[in-house]
Amino acid sequence: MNKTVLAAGLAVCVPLVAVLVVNLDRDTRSVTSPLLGQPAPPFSLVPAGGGEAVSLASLRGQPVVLNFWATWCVPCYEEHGVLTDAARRGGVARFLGVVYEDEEPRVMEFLKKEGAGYPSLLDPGGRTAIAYGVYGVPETFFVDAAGVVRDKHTGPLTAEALADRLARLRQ
Amino acid sequence: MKRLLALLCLLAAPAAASTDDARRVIGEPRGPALTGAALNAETERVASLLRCPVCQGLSVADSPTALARDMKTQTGALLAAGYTGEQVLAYFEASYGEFVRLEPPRRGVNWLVWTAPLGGLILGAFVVMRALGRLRQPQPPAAGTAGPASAEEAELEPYLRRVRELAYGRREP
Repeated sequence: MNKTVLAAGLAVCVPLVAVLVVNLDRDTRSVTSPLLGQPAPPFSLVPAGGGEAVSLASLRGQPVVLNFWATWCVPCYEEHGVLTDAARRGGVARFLGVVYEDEEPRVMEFLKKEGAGYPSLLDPGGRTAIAYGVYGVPETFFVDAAGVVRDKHTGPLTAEALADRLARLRQ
Repeated sequence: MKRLLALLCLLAAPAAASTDDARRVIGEPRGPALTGAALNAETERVASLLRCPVCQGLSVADSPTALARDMKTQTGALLAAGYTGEQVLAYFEASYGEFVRLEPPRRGVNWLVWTAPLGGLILGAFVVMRALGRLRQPQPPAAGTAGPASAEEAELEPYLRRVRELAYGRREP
């Protein structure tokens, strides 16, 4: 009987402990996106400050860096400089910002103060953010020239991380 | 009248846009287009099955955050366009992953989540019944309780008796 109890106990505990150990060093915030390897959800959004709507389809043929951000997001300030620098330097990728749960006047004020190197699109109702499965800001999606989501970065991008991701996008 | 039409078009435009992307992801609507109280009730039900991505264990129906509000609005728009509750859940799952469902869908390895508790209950009941059955059985007179069990104990018995006598006083047998 004791052996049976031991075997039953082990049968329950060993898999549980194994699951815990395997997931111990997993970052709970980094939920992998089901969009990786899938066609990027299309959108056509008007930039903050007005102007022609920008659609993802119109950028087909070149890689796109799609950054979801907001003025109330503190890490976005630092990241904004990194992205603006990269966009101004030019290169293969086009940069687009999508404003997440924010208001246009605040966005315009932010861009006036921090500089704008690429269009920041307004996303009424958060539909584009939802289509991309955005959890929080900042989140950045890397879409290749064929319009397929290749990579996703959660949290603020450093210059190194951005360069690394862009290099991978070109491959 | 023209103004009213323009206003209606403006109001309808976002709804159409929100279902455009849904059509790409989950295809054509497979249910009746809901309106009024039925729409509200179904929106509430589906929203309560969706996890608010930015909260800790809250459903979209229970969360006051802007994202949850937007997700609920979109849920309503999709249900009004004739998508079924399951289709709406599948739409959000396509962008957020299975994590967005508060109830694990009944498929594949997820069946374990649904059946394991019941299995555990049945197994537990079985173990308890067996234990109870054993208790109820009349105990056979055990050999050990009547007299000394082994030669060693038999050898020690006189000494034990002597110790007991010293400790507790002499007792009549």
